[in-house]
Amino acid sequence: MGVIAAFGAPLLTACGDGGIPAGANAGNASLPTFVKFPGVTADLPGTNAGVTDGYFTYPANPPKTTTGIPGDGKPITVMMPAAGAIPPAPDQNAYAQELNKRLGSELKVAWTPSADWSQKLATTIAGDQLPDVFNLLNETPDFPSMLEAKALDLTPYLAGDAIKKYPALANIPTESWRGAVFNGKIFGLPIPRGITTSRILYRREDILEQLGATAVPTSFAEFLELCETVTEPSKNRWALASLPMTFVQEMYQLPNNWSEHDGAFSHLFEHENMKAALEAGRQLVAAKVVNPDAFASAQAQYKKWFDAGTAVMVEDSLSAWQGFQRRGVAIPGFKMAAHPAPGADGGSGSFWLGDPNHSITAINKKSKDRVETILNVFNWLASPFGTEEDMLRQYGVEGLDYELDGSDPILTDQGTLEIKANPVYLTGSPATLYISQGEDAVRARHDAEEALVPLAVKDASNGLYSATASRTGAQQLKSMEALQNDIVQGRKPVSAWDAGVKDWQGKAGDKMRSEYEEAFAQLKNA
Amino acid sequence: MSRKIIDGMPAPAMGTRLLKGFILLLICAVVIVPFIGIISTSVASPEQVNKAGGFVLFPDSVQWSAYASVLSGGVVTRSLFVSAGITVVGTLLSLTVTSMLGWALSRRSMVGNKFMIMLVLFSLLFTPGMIPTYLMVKQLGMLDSYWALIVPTMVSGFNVIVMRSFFSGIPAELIDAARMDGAGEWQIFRRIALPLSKAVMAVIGLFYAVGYWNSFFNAMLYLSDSAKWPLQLVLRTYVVNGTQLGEADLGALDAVLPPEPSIQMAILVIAIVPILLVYPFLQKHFAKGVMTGAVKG
Repeated sequence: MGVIAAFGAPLLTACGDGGIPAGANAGNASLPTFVKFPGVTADLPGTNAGVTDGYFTYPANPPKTTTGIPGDGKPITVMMPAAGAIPPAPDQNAYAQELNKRLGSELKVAWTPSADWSQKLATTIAGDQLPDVFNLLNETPDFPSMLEAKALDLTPYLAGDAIKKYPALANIPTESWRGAVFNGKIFGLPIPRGITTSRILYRREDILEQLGATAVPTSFAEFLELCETVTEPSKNRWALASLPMTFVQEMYQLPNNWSEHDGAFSHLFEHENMKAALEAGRQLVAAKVVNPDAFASAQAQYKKWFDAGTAVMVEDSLSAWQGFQRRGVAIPGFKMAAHPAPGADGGSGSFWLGDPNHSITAINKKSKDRVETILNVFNWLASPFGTEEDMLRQYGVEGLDYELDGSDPILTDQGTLEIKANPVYLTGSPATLYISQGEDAVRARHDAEEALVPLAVKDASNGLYSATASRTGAQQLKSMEALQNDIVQGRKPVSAWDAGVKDWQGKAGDKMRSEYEEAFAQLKNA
Repeated sequence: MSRKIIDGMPAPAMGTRLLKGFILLLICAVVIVPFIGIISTSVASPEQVNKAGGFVLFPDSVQWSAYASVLSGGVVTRSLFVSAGITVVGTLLSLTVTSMLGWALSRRSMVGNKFMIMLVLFSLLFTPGMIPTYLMVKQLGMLDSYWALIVPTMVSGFNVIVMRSFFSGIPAELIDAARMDGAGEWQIFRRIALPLSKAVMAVIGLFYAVGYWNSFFNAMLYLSDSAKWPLQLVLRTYVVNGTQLGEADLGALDAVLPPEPSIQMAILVIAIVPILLVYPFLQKHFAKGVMTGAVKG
């Protein structure tokens, strides 16, 4: 998700979305042809509009879909962020040994804590120490120039029908490939996430049932009323873990950051409804239905409050669903749901789509002689859900890392440790919805997605590059976030927003607008 | 009734004493309660931790599962040895170089003395940036080597100044006497100056040791092979990445989970205990050492 897309979510988690803006002038490159992998049939099929394929069980006897060994026997050096704690070293890790054996080239991974990623990348680039393959978790200033200087142009290998040589990579949606194109060239491989980076409002249905407040609000007034009904500070219970500004802005039908009309761009800050949304946010804070520690806490804490029932609702990414569900197993009666935002005055709200990618992975220019080997390895790693390759990549070695319960793999203690060596931030297959032995949970999320997706609104700047956004966008966004916090917490009047927007326009907004408009026109004419 | 006299001063009234006691108790509690919380949460059951919202003061039962989780797989254990090695070797080297430099700078007769002091002071005021240091380490061929964790931080300008101040305070007569007995500069340093500086060495050694023990950033920058990582960097991946042990952004479980508080707390305990064990042995030197160096110029 681009930094701009983070607005409305003042305290995002460090993970879950990468921070790479969608590519520049994506239309100038011949994007890879999309060829859907004829994989297993989903129990709850997804839609082209974005609803994820849902599976109740892991398909039995998953078929092998690649032939031969993709690697060339020589190690491939990799730099990528660690998803969590680092895994045991390959010499003590049966999973890594088996994966390397199957790939035919050892993946020599330099893990980095995601919090330190920017520094690691900056020093590695400056020292000219980039490995064969490197993830690009965060945007660096003047991103396209950096890619031109260091990353291999993959256009000749992947554009158009060339990608058909790599069937699993051809299965990655076009929307995701757009995010890997800069200056009209394909500079990386996307790590696709579908709609799962979008933010939604989760509800603890079990608690709402106990309180007799299960009715889904149909307007902001009803939402506020619901929040007031379920908040009871004496019982350490608040309606909201944090102020759900994305949800509120969706109620007011605000644009998902940038919107485009006849080639003219405008930002949500400038929208006539923005002040109404701020006023709504202010009312929620004033009504004391938001956990009083919310503004001093982070997403990880919000999750804990939701788990503990201290918060009845929490705004989080759609990808957090499985985590809530899995931890919920240990909570008696746990039941969760999510609904789209209603219109502020009735009717329907909208649903802001997140970035279709987690991040992208680039190949070092210096490794050009091995590019086909590396792409073959990537193709193996991107094998879709329900294949033998995916089963090995996600769950390891049967009998050591997992045991089968029916056809569902259940990780062993050894597997739980070793599986951390899964190179998740290298490449991947399109997002799927599978919760081991959680049919009800899969159904619930699929239902939620079906309700949300028809209301989807894209960020019009997706697929476009703005140098100003890259250089100062994040900094200016922080000032606006601070102003938003001041307003919703009652330290400044809502009317202070106008001056803030004017300042933002002068410092970055107007330049970003013209850059996006120019990029958009080029894209249209391409 | 006259008040009791203590050290020539009347003892404070009972109310004042109670108030002082209460304030001191409060200050102690501010330090001790979170510490007890850390230990308690690390051994509490996951259910209790979840129910309490992540912080337990009185565990219902004692469970070692968090420690078992952290220590399984050998990653943390291996990094403990790395950290211990870096700390011991680094501290010894740092003390050697710092004391020798401090001694040299305390000899006013040394050629270029003032210039050298200026250089040391300069390093206090201006630190090299992250990228120049990285390039230096690379040019010295220390990338992916343990030396990268020791050499860039081996000498601290502050510690050199403290050391120099201490050495400057050694009476000139003592050194003259040694010289008359035929001792050279090296012998004077080794036989006279060093034995006199045990206190300041203990304190500076502790500064260095804590520095080496706690450092993670250099390892993150310079070591690509995670098998060489020191403890603090390994623990950072547990705490900062904000993901639960073994349930990260993996497989179909594409979710970022909150850190398991008991595991985080177990990690804190593991990271703190070794330094905590060393402290009591050096504490007696602590106040004396710092004061000695600090007030003499």
